[in-house]
Formats: sequence, C-alpha cells, structure tokens
Amino acid sequence: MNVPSRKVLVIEDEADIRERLVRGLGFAGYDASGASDGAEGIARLMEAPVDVIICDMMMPSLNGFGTLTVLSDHPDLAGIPVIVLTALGERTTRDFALGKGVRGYLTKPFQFSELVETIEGLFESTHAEAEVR
Amino acid sequence: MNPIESKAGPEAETSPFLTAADPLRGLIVPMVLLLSIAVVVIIAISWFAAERLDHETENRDVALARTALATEAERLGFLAKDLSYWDEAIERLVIAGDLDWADANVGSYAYENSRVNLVIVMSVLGKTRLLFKDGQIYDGKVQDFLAPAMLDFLTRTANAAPMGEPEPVVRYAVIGGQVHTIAASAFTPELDSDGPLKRSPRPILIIASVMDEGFLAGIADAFLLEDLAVSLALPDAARVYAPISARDEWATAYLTWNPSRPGTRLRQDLLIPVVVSLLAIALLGLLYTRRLARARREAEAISMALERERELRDLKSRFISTVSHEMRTPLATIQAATDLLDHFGNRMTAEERQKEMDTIRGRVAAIDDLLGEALLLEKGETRQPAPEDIDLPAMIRAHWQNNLPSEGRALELVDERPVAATVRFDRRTLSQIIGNLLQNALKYSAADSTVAVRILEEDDRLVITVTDHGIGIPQKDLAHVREPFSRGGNVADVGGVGFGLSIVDRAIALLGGSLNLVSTEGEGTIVTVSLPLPVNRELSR
Repeated sequence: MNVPSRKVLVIEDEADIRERLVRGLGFAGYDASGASDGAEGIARLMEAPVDVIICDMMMPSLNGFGTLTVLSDHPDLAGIPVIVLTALGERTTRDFALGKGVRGYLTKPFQFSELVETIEGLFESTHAEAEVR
Repeated sequence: MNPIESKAGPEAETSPFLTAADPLRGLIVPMVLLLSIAVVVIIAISWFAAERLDHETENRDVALARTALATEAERLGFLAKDLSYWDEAIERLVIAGDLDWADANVGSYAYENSRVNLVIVMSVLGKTRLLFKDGQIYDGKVQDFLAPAMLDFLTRTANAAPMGEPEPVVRYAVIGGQVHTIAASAFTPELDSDGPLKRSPRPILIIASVMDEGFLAGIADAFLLEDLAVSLALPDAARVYAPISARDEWATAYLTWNPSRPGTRLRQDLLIPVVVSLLAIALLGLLYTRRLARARREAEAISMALERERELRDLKSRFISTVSHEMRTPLATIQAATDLLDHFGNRMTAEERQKEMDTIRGRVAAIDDLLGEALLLEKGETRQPAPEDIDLPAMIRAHWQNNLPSEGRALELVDERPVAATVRFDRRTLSQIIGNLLQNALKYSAADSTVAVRILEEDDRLVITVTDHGIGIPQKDLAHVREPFSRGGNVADVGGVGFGLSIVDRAIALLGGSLNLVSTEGEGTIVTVSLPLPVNRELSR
C-alpha cells in the first residue's frame, strides 16, 4: 500500500465511520479528509479539489442523491471519480448512482481492504489510460 | 426529492367506494318526496271527484224524488178525471145515491185497484153525497177529513175547469196524521149534441191516496231511493229531501231518504289503500336508506381494511429499508474499527486500540438495543418493574454525554422542583423515556441548536418537558408518530426506524403517565411527559 499521497474526501454523516475511514486511509498513505454531509463536502471541493470522493447516500441536509447530481453537473468537479459507500443496497439506488457516473459502489458493512482496492483500481485504470495515450 | 422516499410514502388516497354510494343516497329523499307528492295529488283529485260525485248524485236523487211525487199527483189526477166524466156516474152517484153501484165502481174498486183510500162525492150544493173510506162506506161528512179552506179551494177550482175538459186539482193534505195526495174533479155530463153545456156549479169528486209504506216502496223500486220516509217536519239531520207541496205553497210535508253518497263510499274505500301506499313508500324509503347506509358502512369497512393493509405494507417496506440502514451503520462502524485494528493496530497506541474496542462493543450494544426495542414493541414489557431512587438530572446528563451524538448542540437543563429530590421509578423504563426523547430532540435539530429540558412538580405529578428547535412534526403525522415504525413525513435522511416515540408512549403508559406533543413543522417540538409520583401516591394512601 505504498501509494503516492492521493487526496481523498470522505462525505459521510456517521462520525464513527467517517473518522475511522479518514484515519485508516491516512494510515494507508492517502491524504484523507472528511465532510459530514453533501453540502459541506461540495464546499470543501470548491476550495480544494481531490483525487477521489467517497460518498454516503443517506445523509441529513444534502444527501447522496443530491450530492451526486451536483457533482455530475459541475464542470470542474464532474471529472473527479466517486465511490459510493452506502447502507442502501436497493437496485434503484445503485442504478441512480451508476447513472451519475460513479466508479465504485460498496454497501455497508464493507471491508477496508475492499475500499482501498477500489480506489487503487481507479488510479491503475487512469494510469493505463495515460500510458495508452 | 429522494426517489426512495417517493416510493415508500405515497399519500393516502380517498376511497372510491365512498363516492360510488353517495349519488344513490342523494336520490332517496327526492324520490320518496316525489312519490308522496304524487300520491297526495291523486288523493286530492279523488277527494274532489268524490265530493262532486256526491253532489251530483244528491241533485239526481232530488230530481228523482220530485219526479216520483209528480208521477203520483198525475196518476191521481187522471183517476179523478176518469171517474167524473160520465152521465151515468152523475145519475147513480149524485142523483140516485146508488151505494152498490158506487161501491163496485168507485169505493172498493178504487181502493183495491188504485190505492185510493178516500172517495168523496159532493152535491152541487156542497153537501156530502157519498163517502168511502178504505173501500168501505163511511157515515160522515167531508169536513171530517178536509179543512174548510182546503175543501173550499178544491171545489172552487174544480168547478172552474172547462165543461168539456175537466181539469183535476191536485193538492196535499194531512188527514188523520198521514200525508195524502188529493185530487178533485168536477163531474161533467157527456156532451149533448143539441145544446151548449152550461157552465155552473157541478157535483165534485174528491179522491185521496195516502203516502204510506206501499207508496214509498213503489218509489224505492222505481227510483232507487233508499230508506224513504214522509215527514211532517224537516228532520234536523242533514238528510236529503224533496218538499211535498203544490206550486207556490209552503211544503205540507217532506219526502226524505238516505243519501247514497257514492263519492263518500269511494273515498272510504280509497282511504285504506292510500294510507297503506303512503306507509309503503315511507317504509321503502327507510329500508332503502338503511340498506344504502349498510352498504356504505361495509364499503367503508372494506376501504378501511384495504387502507390499513396498504399502510401495513408500506410500513413493512419502510421498516425493512430503514432497519437495514440502521443495522448496517453500526455494523459498518464495527467493520471499520476491526479493519483499523487489523491493518494498522501496530501503528496505534494502546489507548487508541482500546478506544476502537470500546467502539466495537458500543456498536454491538446499539444493535442489541435496536433488536431489543423491536422485540419490546412486538411483545411488550415482560420484566417486572423494579422501582429505585433515581437522580433525574444526572440521568438526563448521562444520556446527553454518553449515549448520544450531541455534537455541537447545547443542553439547557432546568430543574424547577422546590426540592431536587430523587424520584422513584423503574430505572430502565424512565431511561427509555429520557433517552428516546433526547435522541429525537437531537436527531431532528440543527447542529448549533439548543435542547431545553425542564423538570417540575405539579399536583403530585412529575412533569418533564423537552423542547427542541428542530424540523418539527407535520400536523398530519402528529396523530400517528406514536405508532411503531411511523415517522414524520419530513424526516428525509435522518436515520431511524420509528421506534422512539412508540417506546416512550409504552413506557409512560407503564408508569401510569401521559404524553403530550405540540409541534410546528420547521419550528420545533415540545414534548411534555407527566408521570404520577409514586412516593406521593403511597403517602396519600
């Protein structure tokens, strides 16, 4: 897990999960930060873009559905890969998220290694795309 | 709008059954009214026609009675004229006074053949020449039967008749208490071809016929008048009558009979069917109304059952969706903590590792609590309550600090009791109330808001008020939020399964208290719990 310091934003309302994700990703070598809902997350992204976004679906204020919509419509943020991390396993939610162009969909409870592998997968495919060019 | 929300919570629709039953119901009253009006109009027309029929029948009967009287007068007039028109009669009756001949040709003859019960022959000088009563020769004078005025009138008028064509005079008189038709005619000799007839006083024939039962029976037979009678005075009762009188004179007597009144009979015959049909219409209307009301009630019951069924289905689906989220969140925390310890435990301090272990235990307990609450709601409290002394403010603070994600929110705890004594309740039950109310106040309010808790004593009751400035509960949901799995329509993505208030409600019921909710959507909620103080209750015993 010796990966260059990629910036990751964790948008998750549950502090218990958010803090552990930020911490774990930090241990894993990422530059991770957290936001407690979609609105805060988008505000942070406007200040400083990241390499990957991890987003919960069910959150107070601006939820995952709204956040994904805002991200996909925003010219500067649309390119940032998003991984959805949610307790909602329903097909409709998954279809919605995939429709918005998310790159990964993990349901809670998830394994930390699973998340890291998903993030890694994103960067590898980005590398591959770059190499082909 | 959240697509899941839109699926899970469609608004209750009004039932199609109710609207289907209503138009028919609206028709009953007008229909009954219309039928009743029709029946009443028919009755009115019938009544009027019956009245008219009675009137016409009465007029007809009077005409018939008058005809009957005129016929009798005519009959007697013809008889008198017939008997007085012979030379032989003059010779035998007036001059010779031949009684045998008189009896065979006038006395018993007229009595037996023509119902003439009085025959009087008077001489030119006005003396009684012959007198037969009821066919028998009678030794008396005409004055025994006729008043002088009547006799004078009859003889004068009869004598005034032309010689060749005697014209009988007809009058009515009461003789011996009975009404008689009297005909008087002057004797007229047969025409002498040689010389003219002298117009001078002539002998007079007077015959009388009593209006007795035979006479009445004859009229009844011929003219169909019922219960005929001859009365000297007009009866007081409103019987129909015809006066028995000669022209231009006061009535001597009256012919009376029972009015047949076919209209009245028709009306009487109609009365029962009319009443029966009105009652039948009313009864039909009533039965129909009841039947419709029953159908409506049944439709409502079906509709309500369907609605309940639908609500249960919605509830179940919402429950599954929310519980899975509620379970997955602590499970995800446990997973994250375990992963942290597993992958990076060597980089963490002992204290940090302990914190992760505590978190895992805490989340396991949270899942256990959630399942426990579900079971509690499903089966009710089975444990015996164990009252103990509790420091209520301490319990509230402990919940605030330990068990809730209070984050930036502030607690404003005011204890207004005169003596801040401990309270004696079952700890777990009171804890369920406090914990759930505080959790709701926190969950549904902004991170920088204040939650106010007030404790006071009022009429031997402990009153706890929890006021928040959160999202509030929509008015339409206020009645349902105490039901298990039921939540306000405005909770959006705030986690929860809808157990909180139902658990609080049950716990309060266990303690014999009451719960009051006042809420304005978008402004906040005030929850007031009122519990009877057990210590005071014991003292008052």
